[in-house]
Amino acid sequence: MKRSFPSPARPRKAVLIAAIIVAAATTLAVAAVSSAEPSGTAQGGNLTVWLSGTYAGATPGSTYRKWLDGIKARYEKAYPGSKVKFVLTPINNAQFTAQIAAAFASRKVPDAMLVYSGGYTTPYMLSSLEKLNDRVDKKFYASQGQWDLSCLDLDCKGGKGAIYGIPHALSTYALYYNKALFKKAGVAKPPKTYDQLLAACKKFKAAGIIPLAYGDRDGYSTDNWVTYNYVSFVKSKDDITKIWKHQIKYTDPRVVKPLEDLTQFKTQGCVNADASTHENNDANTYFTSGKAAMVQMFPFVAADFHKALGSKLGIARLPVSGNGPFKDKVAGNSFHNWVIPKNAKNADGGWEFIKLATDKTSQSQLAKLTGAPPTNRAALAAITDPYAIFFRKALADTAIPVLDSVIPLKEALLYYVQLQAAFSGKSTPQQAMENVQKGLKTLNP
Amino acid sequence: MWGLLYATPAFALVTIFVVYPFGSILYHAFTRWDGIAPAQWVGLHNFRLLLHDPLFLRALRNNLIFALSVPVQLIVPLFVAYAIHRRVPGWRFFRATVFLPAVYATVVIGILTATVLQLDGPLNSALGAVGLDSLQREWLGNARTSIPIILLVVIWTNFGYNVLLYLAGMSAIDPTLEEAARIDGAKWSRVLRHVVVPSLRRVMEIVLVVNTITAFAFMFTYIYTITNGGPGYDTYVSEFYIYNQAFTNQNMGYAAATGVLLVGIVLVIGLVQIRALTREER
Amino acid sequence: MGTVASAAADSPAVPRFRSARSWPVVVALALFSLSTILPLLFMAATAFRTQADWDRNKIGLPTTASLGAFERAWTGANIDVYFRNSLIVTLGAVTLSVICATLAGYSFSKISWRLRAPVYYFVLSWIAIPPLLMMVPIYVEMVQLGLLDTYGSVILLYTALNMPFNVYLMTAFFRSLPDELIEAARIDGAGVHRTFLRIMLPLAKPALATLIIFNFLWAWNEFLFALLMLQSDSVKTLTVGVLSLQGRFTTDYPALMAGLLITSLPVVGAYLIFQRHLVRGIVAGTVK
Repeated sequence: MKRSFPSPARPRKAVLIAAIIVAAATTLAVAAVSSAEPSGTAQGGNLTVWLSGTYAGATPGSTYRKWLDGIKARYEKAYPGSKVKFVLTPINNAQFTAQIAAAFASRKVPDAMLVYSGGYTTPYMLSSLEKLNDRVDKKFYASQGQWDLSCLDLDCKGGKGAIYGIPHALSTYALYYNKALFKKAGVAKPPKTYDQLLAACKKFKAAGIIPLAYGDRDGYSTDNWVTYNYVSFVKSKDDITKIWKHQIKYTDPRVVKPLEDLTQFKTQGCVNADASTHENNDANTYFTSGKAAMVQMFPFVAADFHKALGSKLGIARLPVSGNGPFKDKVAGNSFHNWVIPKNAKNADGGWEFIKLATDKTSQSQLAKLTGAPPTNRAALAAITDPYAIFFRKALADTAIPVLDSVIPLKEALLYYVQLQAAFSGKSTPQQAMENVQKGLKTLNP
Repeated sequence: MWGLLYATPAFALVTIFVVYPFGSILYHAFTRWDGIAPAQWVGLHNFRLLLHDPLFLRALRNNLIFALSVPVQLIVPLFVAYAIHRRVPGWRFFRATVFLPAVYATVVIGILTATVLQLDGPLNSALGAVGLDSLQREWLGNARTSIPIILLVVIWTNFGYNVLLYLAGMSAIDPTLEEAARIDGAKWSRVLRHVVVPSLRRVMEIVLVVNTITAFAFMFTYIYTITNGGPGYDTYVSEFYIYNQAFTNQNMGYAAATGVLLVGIVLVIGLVQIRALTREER
Repeated sequence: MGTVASAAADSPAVPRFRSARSWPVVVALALFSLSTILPLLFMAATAFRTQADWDRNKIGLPTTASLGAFERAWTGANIDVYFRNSLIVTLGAVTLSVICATLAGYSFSKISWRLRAPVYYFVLSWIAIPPLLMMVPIYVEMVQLGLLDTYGSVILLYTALNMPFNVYLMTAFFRSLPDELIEAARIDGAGVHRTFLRIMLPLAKPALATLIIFNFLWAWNEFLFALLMLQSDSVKTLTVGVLSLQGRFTTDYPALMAGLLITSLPVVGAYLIFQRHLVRGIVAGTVK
């Protein structure tokens, strides 16, 4: 074994070791300092945002996506270096729920999610979402409208109720109609009641025009008409809450009669022949191509409809058939809600994103791009688009929430199927609602 | 000792990913469970509910309707196999292509079916092009057409599998028997009926059982891609119910019970079928 | 039963069917064969068309052969990612299956050890478990193991689900190899491992071919468990991924067909090349 002599390397070695120790200490100190601040506070940070409901179709280039990309750009500008990633969730409801369940179970959750309102009111979902009361201060609460659907019990109590979702936009259903076709058929005004609609329907048919475009493959058309019509049948404003809590049965006349009245549209031939098999949004093409005189839709298609029909496009409140105390009022919802899952890696960043999405700039942009009335009060007051103004006026009269934006998704799915069956004639409205009531048992076995 | 070691990976995988889940589902069939919180024992509650569950009974009925494919799969592939066995011109080509439908992913076939049959799709276009406008319709929007269509697709996909089984069975028959029958001047149909089929008892058992199991337990992908259970609940099958109960409704315990009940039903049917066939043998 | 299986491939002299009466049969068979190729034809024809072509007429050949649909599917709709994932999952499952089944097959056939018979039958007995039964517990198990949304979940699951069949195949095959080979090897001083690697394995090529092609086809085409386990785009396989080519309101059909074609070509190709091995395997498995 050769003896190693003390080499000049040893002093250098000592220096090296010292340098390493200093570097390590510095790194640790820096790490300690930076981790003392929760990641994301006033610092942005990378975000994953899941889009569902109508926004599951927000593919690059679409109107919805343009709006979202605008928010993304603002976020990334405010927090240089941070990136926002959008994920479109599956359109199929079962797949979507499975994905959500899987994410929550394995804690691989996004930092913010945009969900259709009814999509998160199950206890399962709620127990997986962050309660947002600490984040929603008085100022923020005052800046948005349509809160009541975002709280448990559908009553935010001025901000004191349990808040799990932030309203995204305002929505209700309206009757879009083609003024030129009305003139051609000799119909003077858009109908206000079902009887008036059925009468107009005869005139349209005589003129060879499809009276009403209808896409009920998934039961959505019937759902929209019926849940709006409830406003003319309910006896008090919390009837919808009572239905949600199963204190009023689905077989109650308040629920069955609106559906019965609606099925006349089909039996009297007022809708397109393939009404029960055509996809809901796709059926709009009957309207935009000038074949149908009327269609029921929400605010978000106003811009597209205007592009297709120009000055021929008219808009009116959706007809109702009941005589209840609220028949001149409107059923509305907050369309979608922003939620933050528990265990999100960057919940604070998610919240920053949500704040951007609901501030005056983004909300005005939403109104401009889609014609939808914003939930942000300042933006709502400043809108100039005539369709958005129409909706603003209508929504000021909101009396009840839209039922399926309140009941849990699994119940809504059952409800939609039965509505489709009732409208297509496969079962009677009474049977259909009985099926829903009976089916509730195995939704919660 | 080494034997154990060599067998361990296979044994371990099966135990962890097949046996354990099987035990888990047997247990959870008797619980109320959302998949995350601890399961709550409810005894026979799920099964009692199932037997009166209108949607489950509907699904089961649909499975039975789809079991109408079984007689077809029992008889027609037999003839096709015999033709190939007797070396009709082109038999090699036919034998190669007969299995092709099963090579495509079921998803692919399902999506293709849905695409071709949509209201403004290729089939209706073709009908219109040859002047058969009156036959155009929403093929998948009505149970009267959607059920036969799904039956046709399932039969088409699994057809080749049955043909190959029969072929294998026929190849095991002593050729001199067939030769003897032919020399005696028997027509092909007589040879088939009196010489070939009796020797194919075992194969027919298998074809019967396998295709029945398919109708009850392997329909998911077809339904998911072609009709999604609709219109309404007309093509809703049991697997679909299990999937929805488990993953849309988070009723995992109930879904487990449905699965267990369904497999029980399939087992009983299979045993009855085998019994019936073996009794015939005597 | 191995002889039955291989007999399906080519039978000995059997009276040929040559009478004029055979022509209707031939036509019927030809029509059926045509129907089996039709999906490929339709997918290919549509995938090379432009969307304008499709909008104009649902049936027809491309007016200008365009690769646009493939591009939109491949880069725009993530088909390239899904393809990679399918490859990883399938090759992973096949490799793992081959290793485990071959080792086990050797053990159950050529090594005598005490619990051999019960363990063998135990493994085999799980061959007929329908997937519907496994949906729920497998999902939860993967969540608990932290494997949900990873390649590992499906690779392990596919291997485990097909293990009974694969083990049966390899065991039957090894059994058909004469014991004298083992004897000879032992006399030459080879231990268990060397006998396996140097003698048994090289002889196993035909069985391995069957194993590989069967499992490849099965794993590539598998849908239900991939749907449940693989949620993120980064791990989704083609069978799940093609669903996303179906839009909510309107679908880009040429791109959808391109995606379906990409999903189908590898397995159709593999089938055409390894047809004999596949047929043997399928028949053997059921006639057991």
